Amino acid sequence: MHIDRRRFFGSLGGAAAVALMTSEQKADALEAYMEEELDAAIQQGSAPEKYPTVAEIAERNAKRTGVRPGGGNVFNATNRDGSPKGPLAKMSGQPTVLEFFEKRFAPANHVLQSATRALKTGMSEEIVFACLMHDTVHALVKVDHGWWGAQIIEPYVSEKVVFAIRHHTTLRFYPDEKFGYEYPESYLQTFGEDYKPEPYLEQNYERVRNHKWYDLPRLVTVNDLYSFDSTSKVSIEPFIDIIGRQFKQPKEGLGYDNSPTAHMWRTIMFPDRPL
Amino acid sequence: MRRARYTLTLLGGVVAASGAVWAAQAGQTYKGLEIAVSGVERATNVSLADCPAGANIVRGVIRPGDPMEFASVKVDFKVLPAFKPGVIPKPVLYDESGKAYNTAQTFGEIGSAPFACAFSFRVPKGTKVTKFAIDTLSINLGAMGQ
Repeated sequence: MHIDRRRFFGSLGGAAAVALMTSEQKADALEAYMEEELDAAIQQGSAPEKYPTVAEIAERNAKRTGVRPGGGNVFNATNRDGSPKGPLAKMSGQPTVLEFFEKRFAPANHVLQSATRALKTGMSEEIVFACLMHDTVHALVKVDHGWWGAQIIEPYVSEKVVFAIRHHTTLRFYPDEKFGYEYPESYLQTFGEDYKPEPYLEQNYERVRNHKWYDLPRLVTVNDLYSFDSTSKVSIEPFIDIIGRQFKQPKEGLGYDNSPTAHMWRTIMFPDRPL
Repeated sequence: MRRARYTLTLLGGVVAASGAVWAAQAGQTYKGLEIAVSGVERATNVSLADCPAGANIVRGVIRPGDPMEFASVKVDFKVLPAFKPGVIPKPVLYDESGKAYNTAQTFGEIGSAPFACAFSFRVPKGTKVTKFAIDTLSINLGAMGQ
């Protein structure tokens, strides 16, 4: 991608403002600028001239500073403009999943759009709920997020919801004309044009596509595909009752109920703790 | 002179072909929408926008080495006074053998203005598609589906 130096500096407030930034802030600002330029190009309907290869992405990652791409959002203390995010909102002593939406997952536009779409297209309540929760674990970790995302809510939700969330990560890489799921063009940019899913994903795909519940994670991917509309107005309100029916909220609060995943919720609550 | 005559002949052919296509498409209505297919294109990189298009930016691709392609069906819609907002099922595309292909795209919010969309379907390369359907509406694609 060509970088217009003058435009880039202008977006940051000019050369004087750039001179005050640390190297890490500059790197983050450059990355944010490139992402916005790419988004603009896609919005205009034009595909990038060239997609990176897997090797080029690895080379880019080797030069990164700050949080690595698979790291969770709560560990990134820098805004897109390079400024510090500041302290996170204080959590209550008995946090609910709604409180996590408000104070840790927000703005959560992507999952809210996905669930809204599932609701509008008449999906079952379990699928709507799975869509609502499917990427919320991005707060903690992004790599293999289907497995992490399923694990963290496993003590509190149905087996079908766990299955849907766990395996949507795998099915994203495999188009399915029966369900109308396509390989997203953005993956050429994110994973590389020559990316091939690793053997563990291939093996999991074979297992899941022959499973009686294959439809569940597949329907999450179908609703996942569309949910990147920056102008869409969405809210948690329509899902409050669904959460009430689908999520068994522990009375002690998430993180304090001694469940097998309580520590994961605490990690999202307290990302500033060094140990 | 010879080139001019050739051009006229070619234009005449195109006009005749267009007329034939239009004749096959005109006058199909479904739940207060007048629907006509204006063409079928083959592509490997398509928009998966809602219909009518909103701000959704997601695109789909056929990866290198994949023996598939997208058949993108261009459809014109007129909103008639009888139209009432509601859920419209996703379109389906059929090939010669009657096999159905689904699209990732869905209908979005429909107002009163006419609109046009391209619905893309993943099909094996070179598949002749014969019919575009929305629920009970069925449009024969004729030569466009080749």
